[in-house]
Order: sequence, then C-alpha cells, then structure tokens
Amino acid sequence: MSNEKELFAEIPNGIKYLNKENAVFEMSENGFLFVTADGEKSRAVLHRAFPYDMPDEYISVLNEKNEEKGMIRALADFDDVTREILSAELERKYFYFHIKKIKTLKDNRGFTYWTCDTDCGEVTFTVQDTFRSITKISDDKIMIQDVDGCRYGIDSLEALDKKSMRKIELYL
Amino acid sequence: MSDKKTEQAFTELTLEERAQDLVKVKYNEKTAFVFSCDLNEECEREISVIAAAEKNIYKIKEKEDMSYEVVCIPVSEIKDVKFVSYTGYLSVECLNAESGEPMEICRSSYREKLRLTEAVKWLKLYTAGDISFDKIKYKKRLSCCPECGRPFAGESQVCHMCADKRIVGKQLFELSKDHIGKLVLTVVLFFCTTALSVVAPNVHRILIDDFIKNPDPGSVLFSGLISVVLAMAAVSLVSSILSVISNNILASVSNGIVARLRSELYAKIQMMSIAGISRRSSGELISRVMNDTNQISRLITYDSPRMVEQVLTLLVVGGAMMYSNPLLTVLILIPAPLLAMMFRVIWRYTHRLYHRQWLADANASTVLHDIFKGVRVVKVFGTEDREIVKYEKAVREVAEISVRNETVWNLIMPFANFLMGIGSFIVLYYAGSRVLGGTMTLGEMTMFSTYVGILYGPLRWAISLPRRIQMGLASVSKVYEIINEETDVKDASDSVTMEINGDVEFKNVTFGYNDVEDVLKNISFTAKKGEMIGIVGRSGVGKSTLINLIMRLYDVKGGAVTVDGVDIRNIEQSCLRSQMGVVLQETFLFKGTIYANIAYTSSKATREKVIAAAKLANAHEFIMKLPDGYNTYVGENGYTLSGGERQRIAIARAVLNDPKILILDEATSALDTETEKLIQDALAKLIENRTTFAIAHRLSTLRNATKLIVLNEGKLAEMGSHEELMRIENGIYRSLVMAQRQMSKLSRDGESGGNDE
Repeated sequence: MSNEKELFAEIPNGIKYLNKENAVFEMSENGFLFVTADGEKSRAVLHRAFPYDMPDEYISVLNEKNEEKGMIRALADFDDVTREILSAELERKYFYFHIKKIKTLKDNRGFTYWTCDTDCGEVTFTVQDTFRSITKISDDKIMIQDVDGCRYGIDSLEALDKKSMRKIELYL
Repeated sequence: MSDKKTEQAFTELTLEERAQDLVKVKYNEKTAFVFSCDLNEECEREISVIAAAEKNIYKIKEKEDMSYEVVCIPVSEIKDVKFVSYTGYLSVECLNAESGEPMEICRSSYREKLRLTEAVKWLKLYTAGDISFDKIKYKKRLSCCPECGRPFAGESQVCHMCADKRIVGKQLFELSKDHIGKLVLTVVLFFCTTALSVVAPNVHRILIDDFIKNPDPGSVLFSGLISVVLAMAAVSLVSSILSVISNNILASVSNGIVARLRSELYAKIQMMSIAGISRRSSGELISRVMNDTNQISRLITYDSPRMVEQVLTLLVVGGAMMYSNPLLTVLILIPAPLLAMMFRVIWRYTHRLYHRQWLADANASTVLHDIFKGVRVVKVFGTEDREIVKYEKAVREVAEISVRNETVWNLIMPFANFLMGIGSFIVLYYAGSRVLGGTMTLGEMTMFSTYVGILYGPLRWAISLPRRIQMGLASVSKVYEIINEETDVKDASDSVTMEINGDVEFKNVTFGYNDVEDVLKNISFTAKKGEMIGIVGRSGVGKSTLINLIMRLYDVKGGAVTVDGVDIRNIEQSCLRSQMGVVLQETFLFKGTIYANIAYTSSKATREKVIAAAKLANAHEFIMKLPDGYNTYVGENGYTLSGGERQRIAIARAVLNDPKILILDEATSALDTETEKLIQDALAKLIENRTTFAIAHRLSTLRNATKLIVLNEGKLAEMGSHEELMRIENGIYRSLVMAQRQMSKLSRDGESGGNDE
C-alpha cells in the first residue's frame, strides 16, 4: 500500500509531465524521435490531446507499444532546440494539405469532387458524405477528409477568395 | 475531372514503369511489384517509387535533372515490416535485422492507403520468409474509378456509374421479365392516350370553325353540335379511363418488382458472411434494401414509361402539326431547346437553394433528436435552458433560409412561366395574322395553341429525366453487386452434415481481419468432449476472434479448425451452427415474447423444453414473477428487463437445443456476484457432456475450467489448468490472477477503511 501512495505522490493529478528537467528528446540517425525519461530510452510518438484548439499543449508521449511515457504540458517547457525538434515532429505527424483555393467543386449523388490548389500543388480528391467528412474546427477553420481518409484543411475561411467561398459555403 | 485522374494515373504509371526498367537494367533484378509514395521524410510532397525485387528493395526518386536517386535496402537487413498509420500520414516501418534499430522504408499520405496496405501485406510475408518471391501476387487497388474518378463504394472495385450498360440492361430485363406483358400494355395505352390528345384539339377546331364561327349560323344543325360536344366528352372520358388503367397496372408492377427485389436482396444479405456484412454499414445495407429498390421500381414503372410517353407525344403531336402546317410547326419547335436549357439552369440554381434549406432542416432535426435521446442527461445536469437556445438557433436558421428561398422562388417562377408562353405568342402572332388575312381559321389557331401546350408542358421536368434514369441504372448495378457477390465463407460442394460429438482442435491457426495485421498467430490446441476451455488475456488480444473462428463466422487464413477431426470448412454451416449454443457479451432480444426469444433457434420447441431451458439458466423464477409470464413482450417498446435477466434469457436460448459445443463470451459479465453464482451453478450442470469455450474477465468465473488458454500478442502464451499456470514464475496468468486478487483486496480494504471512519 505504502508503495502505491509514494507512486501517486510523484504524479500530480495522476498525470506525469515531461519537461526539460526530466526528459531528453532527440532525433535518431534514421529520423525517429526518441525520448529518455527515468533513465530509460524509448521511441517517442507524439499525440496531441486537443489537436484542434490547443495544438502546442497537452501532448502525450507514447512509446512504440502505445504506452504513455508521460505528457508534455506545453512545448514552452522545453529549450529552443528541443522545442524545434518537437514542433517539426508534430507538424509532420499532423500533416495535411493546406487548401489555398478551390478550383472546382462538383456534387454528384452524395459524392463531391474537388480540385484545389494547396501548399503541395494542385490536388484532386473525392469526399463521401460531406455532412460527416467536413469538420468545423472553429468558425474560421475546417478540416475535410476524403474517401481514403486523407486530410485537407482550410486554415482561414475568412482569407479564402470569394469564388472558392461560394463553392464551399453550401457544405458548411 | 476524369481527364485529370487519368493523366495523373498515367504519369504515376510511367514513373513506376521507368523504375521497374531501371532496376532490371542497372541492377539486373526482376521486380515483384512497384508502388508510389507521395511524401518524403520531411512530409513534403515528393513522389518516389518503391520497387520490391528479390534481393533488395529499391526506393527511386526522380531528380530535377531527370536523373534518378536510388536508395537500396537489402531484404536480408530488414525484419518486422509493419504498416503504421499516424494521424496525418502513413508509414512503412521495419527494424534493422542486426541492430534492431527502427527504419522507415517509405512514407505516404492517406491518398495511397489501398496500394500501400496491399504492398505491405506482401512485403511482410516475403521479408519474414513466409512465402517465396515468385508467390507474390500484388494487386493494384484503387479507391476511385480510373474512368470517371468516382469513388468505389466501400471495398468494391466496381464503378456503378461506369458499369457495363449491357449488363445493367440485362438485369433490368431480368427484373421486368415477369411483367413484360403488362408493361407492353401500358405502352399501348400511352399510345392511345397520346393519339387522343391529338384528337381532342381537332374536335375543338371543328366546334369553333363549323359551329361557333360558322358564317352562316342558320345552316348549323343542332344535332351536329350535340354530337361534337358528345365527341369531346367521350375523348376526355376515354383518356381518363385509359390513364386510370395504365396507372393501376404500373402500380401493381412497381410493387411486385420492389417486393421481389427486396426479399431477394434481404435473403442474399442474410446469406453473406459476417465479414461481407460488416464491410458495409447497416445504414448502407438498409439504404440498398429500401432506397435503391425504390429507385429501380421508379425507373421501371415511372421514368422509363414517361420517357416513352414523351417520345410518343413528340412524334404524334409533332406529326399532326407538321401535317396541318409545317412552317408554323418549325417556328414553334425552334425555341424548345433554348427553353429546355433555361429550365436546366433554373433547376440547378433552385436545387442549390433547396439543398441549403435541406441541410439546415437536417441540422435542426439532428439537434432535436440529440436532445430527446439525451433527455435524461439534460434533466440531470439541469441544462434545459442551454438546449432550448441551441434548438432555437437551429430553427431560426431554417426559417431564415426558407424565407429567402421562397422570395427567390416567387421571383423566378412567374418569369419562367412567361417564357413558357413564348410558343403560344409565336402562334398568336403568326396564326393571328393568317386568320386576319383569311388564310387560316380561328379553330386551327386554337388547335395549334393547344398543341404548343402539350409539347411545352412537360419540358419543365423532362430535362431531369436523363439524370433520373441514370440514377436508376446506378441503383440497378448497386443492388446487383450485392445479389451477385460471392460469399467468402461458403459451403464446399462436398460439405457434409454430421452429428457432432464435441472434440475441437485448432491446428496452427492464423487469422487477421485485414491483410496487414494478424490477430491470431499459429494457435494450436485441442479440446476434448466435455472439457471446459477458459480463454484468458488482455482485452483486444483476440479472444472473441478465436471463438468467431470456432463458429466459422470467418474462415481461417492459415491452418485449420476441426470438429471431431473434420475441417469445419467441410461441414455444412447450418449443420455446424445448429449444434452450437452461443451466449454473447451483448445480448440481443428480438421484439416478441420471452417464449419466442428463448425458442428462437427452433420454433418447434415444446413449452416444456423452453421451461426446462429457462430453469437450467436460472431464468424461470424471475419470468414467473412477471404478470404475463412467458408471454411477456420484450424488445423494443416491450417490457424492460435488467441486464442480468436478459443474459439469463440468452443463456436459456443457447442451451435450448442441447448443443454439443457451448460458447460463452463474457456471458456473466453483466451480472452481480450473487446472480453470477446462480448462473455458475447452472453452468456447472450445463457443461456436463459438452465442450465449452468460455471467455471471462473475472477469472474466478473460470475456476471450473479443465484447461485455460492464455493469449498474448496474438499468440498462445500459456496453456494448462489453473494450478499448473499458477506455478509458472512471472507467468501472464499468474500475474493477472494476482492483479485481480489485489484489486478485490484493495476494494475490500477500502470498504473496511470506510467503515472504520
């Protein structure tokens, strides 16, 4: 019993936070993120707890067996170098096509066919059931998922040109 | 769209082909398959091609100067290839065979998912040495039709819109075959109605010219006028009767077709394997049974006959007009295509408006549905006000949109109707001047006006006819996709029926729900008649999968499951399952009486047998306390039973037929310890003389088991009796038991601690 009490005392609110004092993050030669915490080195897969509204806070650090090694309260708890590594890794893990302009958007029998300019060039994709596949993250930001599960995002509806807006407004 | 897709497919193909050539020429190796990836290590868009050859895996990128950058990974250096899906991208990872360091073979966006999973399936098998190089059979899978860019439905690789028209035609014929006489009759009736529609204005002309406007009224015979009026009445009556008859025929044909299709489709879905059914959502299946069949019946009984009717009208009325005045006819027909186009534009615009209204409507009803479903939560947390505001907002949005739409509609429609009149204006001007000039009679003019109405009237909706017919054809191909689907779990042609004794054996069984991951790996064990086998392991380890295989809900990927030494794939499915009794974690009671629910598997079960089964399951006592006893209605809108009561009915249902193999998947998890004890005692009686497989999280439930099977990471980790397994130092079973004992001790401590205070 006493052992368990001690164990819980170490973890405030049951969450184990990683910060620059107790964890070291580094990239391996093969491009994998590793974390050393409690004297143990393991692969680190970052997973945001609130990807929509708090992308840089409350980030879970999982090993390859999907066990949580701890949580990052905020990226700000780390030094500049580590923060950069973590930010870049998060950016990659949450990769999506950033839509700049909607060129064509056709609707046919419940499927919509999109041609968009994105930060990765022009892409065409098909969305099934726009009702469920378009998620409003905020009043200004939406994410779209195509038939393959690939993600596309419009970071600011406000900044979108009028023509694109006219095409998409039916589905918002 | 389609051009884009083909073009894209084409360039990818050529890079893949070039990569294949490169490996062949420069490295002198034959490739088993190639596939493309669209992201680099930095998650930037960059196409690279992975070529899997016998000794090496090549990763080929094309540089700007048209030269190639090639990374070569020897197959001998990699192990444990796996497919990992991160939130934003997919990755094929492996371990270095020597150092054990993780490596990434390639990275791709979800756009390449189907190709990637197929590739990983083969890479994994080949690099693990499970199959030889020439046994690799990579199939390039697409999520969208390469012809039209439309996505395939679910796992299907058939495009319903591009489906071979001849096949669809044949299926349509097949469907309407039984009703062909009636359908021909309706076409004949249509022809008669159309002919009558030509006759009516003609009679009208006679009425005006020969009687009303007769320059010499004295010469008009009164009896002549009566016969003309009678003729008009007769034409109108006959055409009404004809349309009543043809509508009735069509209604009966339509209902006949829908009923037949639905039951055929439903029967087929029932015969499909669990895998085939769960590939599609229940919503999709319901939609195919209900909506698509409706769509088809509409096609056969409404759209197609209308099409025929339209063409007939155009030919007959147009012919009649041509006959009496060719020039005027041409003048009238010229604006028709323009009008059709205009209505198409209006239709698309209003469709857009109403689509928005529909969305708002759907949103409002979702809010409503949500609140009513969760009304207890709303009440408990006292959030009524917030929910009222939410619904008000949704309703206001609907109201605003409908007001806007009505305004637009009221603005457009009068103008549209005005334009519809264009034909009559032409007739009025042209014929009017002729009438004044004396070269045409007033009656002829009226006749032409009426003809214009007949020709122009259906334009408004006829423009959407091709689209509706296409939708109907797509439904035909969708419905027949299911009807023609081969079941993946099917009875062999030489399958046998046999009386099962109860010896079950797993021989090196491997199984996975998809190609990429195996849930069970190389499982072997035997269960003799009368033994009780407890299956233990963490959740998600494959316990339920294992019993699904015993019931043959899925077919094994490798190895075999045998009953009494016979591979279950050679036993008739209905024969196999009728001798098994199953109690699942989630009990489902059908709408009906308790009696009907217990007797579900054999409707001929005597009352005595049902009561005996209920007694065995310790259900009889509580059933007899209900006012209506065994006749109590349960299921939706029926009497609400507690979880434990439902469970006991399910157990009674399972043991009713005296099954030789009994399967209990968390059968007692919903029960309190006391009721569980009751059922445990009942089960102790039950398992005599039958082979029992039981899954339970509460390990104490399995204390009667003759043998325990412990699964870990898909493999059989430990096997033996409770005592034997407890003797294994650091054993999984031992640690699970210890953990559970600790838990109950802790909770006991907690309780006693609480009492002390």
